Amino acid sequence: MFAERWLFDFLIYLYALSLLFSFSDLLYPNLRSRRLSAGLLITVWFCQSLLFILWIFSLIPIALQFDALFMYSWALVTFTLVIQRLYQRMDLFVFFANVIGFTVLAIHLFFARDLSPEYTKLLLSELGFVHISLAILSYVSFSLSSICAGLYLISNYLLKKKKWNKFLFRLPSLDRLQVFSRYLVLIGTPLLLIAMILGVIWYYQMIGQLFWNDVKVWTSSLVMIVYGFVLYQWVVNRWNGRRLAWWNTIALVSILLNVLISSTRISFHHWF
Amino acid sequence: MHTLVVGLNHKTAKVEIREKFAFSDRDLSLALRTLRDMKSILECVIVSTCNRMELYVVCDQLHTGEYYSKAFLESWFRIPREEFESNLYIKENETAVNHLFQVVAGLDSLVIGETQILGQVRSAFLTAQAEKTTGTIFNMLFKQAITLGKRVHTETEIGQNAVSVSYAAVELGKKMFESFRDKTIVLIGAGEMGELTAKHFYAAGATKVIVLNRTLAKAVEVAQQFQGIARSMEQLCESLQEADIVVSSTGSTKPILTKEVMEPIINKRRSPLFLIDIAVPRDIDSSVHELDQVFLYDIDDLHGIVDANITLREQEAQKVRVWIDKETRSFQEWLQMLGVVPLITALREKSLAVQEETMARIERKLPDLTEREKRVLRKHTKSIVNQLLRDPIVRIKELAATSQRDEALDLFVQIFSLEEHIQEKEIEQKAASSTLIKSLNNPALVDGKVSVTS
Repeated sequence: MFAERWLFDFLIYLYALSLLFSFSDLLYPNLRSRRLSAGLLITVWFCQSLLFILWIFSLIPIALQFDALFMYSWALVTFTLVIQRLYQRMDLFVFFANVIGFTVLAIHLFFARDLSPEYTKLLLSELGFVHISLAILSYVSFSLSSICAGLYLISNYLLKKKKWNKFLFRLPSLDRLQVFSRYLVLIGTPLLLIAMILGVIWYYQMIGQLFWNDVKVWTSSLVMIVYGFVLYQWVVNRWNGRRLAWWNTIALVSILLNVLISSTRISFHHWF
Repeated sequence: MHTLVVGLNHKTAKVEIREKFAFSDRDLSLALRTLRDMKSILECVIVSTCNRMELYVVCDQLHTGEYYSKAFLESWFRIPREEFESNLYIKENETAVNHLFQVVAGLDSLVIGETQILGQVRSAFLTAQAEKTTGTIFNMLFKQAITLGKRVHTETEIGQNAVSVSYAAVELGKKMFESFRDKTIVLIGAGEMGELTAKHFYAAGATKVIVLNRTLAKAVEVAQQFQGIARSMEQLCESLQEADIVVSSTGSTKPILTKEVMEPIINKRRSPLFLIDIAVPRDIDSSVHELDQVFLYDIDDLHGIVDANITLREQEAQKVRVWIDKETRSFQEWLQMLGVVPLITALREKSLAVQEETMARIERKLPDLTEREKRVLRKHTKSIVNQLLRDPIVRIKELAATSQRDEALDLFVQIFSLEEHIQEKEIEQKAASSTLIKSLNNPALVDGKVSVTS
């Protein structure tokens, strides 16, 4: 068990080092830290992907359990790497996304010791796997969208207060942050909707009416309602700027609440 | 061997002086050859830009190097020495090396951290190299300087933030818009400063420019520069609805844009609106800045950005100065090591000559030696020589980097009795260089006098 878990330990150290160099680059911009941070993040992604593939083909011991948090972290790293590759001046966005990714991976590492049998069963079924994957992708989209909205608020504040500092110069432009936060909600909402429909089908087959007694079902619906509201206000009522960004940032609370509920034993959706 | 910089720049000479000492691209090759042919000068590079003219030379004696560099300037530009001598600065050896590093890093420029000078120094060095006026020292020094310059611009933010008001506006615009490609600029008033700012936006990719002015003819004239649209001031509200960036610089004494005017326009927008008010008195009421998605900046704000950027560049310059000191030390160490090389070569050649002589004697006394035996003997006698030389060579290299360098080198020459060998080498080198000089067909040196012609 100890020998098998070293892989995860190695992964978390690499991730921590990547964040450390990224933080150093944010404070004192330098090419070496930036390269090291990016290189380490790519290595983290490779290690995570490798573990993922090995797990899919059942090539690693059952002691190394995978859960939604690991998948969430992997998806975050993937997204941030793609965004970093495609767009310039996204250092702050990538940094904050990876702080979340690292926290989630660390929780997975230090607390994911045993999965509930229901969860393992769900993960191993085809429909269940699709349900979980889509739900995780939607949460990743929403988290990234909220990070963009948060950065928009910071940038907006600095520009309004006319505070010319290094931090402002490193932030992406307001219109890019707006576009990212809007479209990530636009992607996340249908993904969550599909995930919820698939989940309903699966659980009705498995446990029937008892399904509605699970708190997680209600908190997931809350996430759907909150982000649906943000999307609706943007598309229909043409909400914009600071107001939309505030709503989008606050909406992240619904995801955190959802994770919290999932982690307690009051739900059968144990994330870890 | 000494390194010397003789030059003038924006700090020491006004433009009236600087323009008289500019080398044209066409004459630079001839100037390099002429300078290199001056007495005492062994290598040279000429850096000539609008803000500086510098002669970088390697000379055998400092005072003669300086004297003939000035003589070259006097003769080339046909200006009496007394007229420009007070504008010149002279930097010697370590200070000269340090100065070059500061120049390529942009620390000695009018605008600190500017990148253009690096390309200009690189081009000056390549021209000198093509004219064969550089040698071992400058080939090493300028390559090191150019590498340092590149590092400064890639690893620091010294040249990244705007230090002019109009460019600061463009940079600020980038905080609101990722690209100006599909953005509309509305220029209110056809003032010079507004026009310049609009020009920067246009150069940065803005495709649509609308010019509004009280006199339509003037608006048409300005709009033509950007293939833009000219409108009268009556179309202000209509134009603002299309705008992403507004540059205002009218001569109005009262604000022409107020919160009340802007509010209905803003409600219909989905993207930020960037307003630049460079008029004094201001054209746009400051309360407009309170509206969501509207960002208004006046001339003082833009000056504030410039000041912040200059401070930022100064901070980066501190970092670069540490690198420069390190690079200067590294070059000086290399240079000192360079003085040891001829001594080491002389010692090796002398030792190998002794070894060869010994081998010849052995072969004479033992004529029956087989080829294999001779090879073994040669290998082992060489090995004895190498082992004996290893420690003295290591020690002299170490001593060359200390303050007792000259005494140590003299002692080394005396102990190993290398005087004769070194003299022979010097004669060989002089003969080689005189052949080269003759091949350049220089009448001045053939006559034994120095004459410089432009």
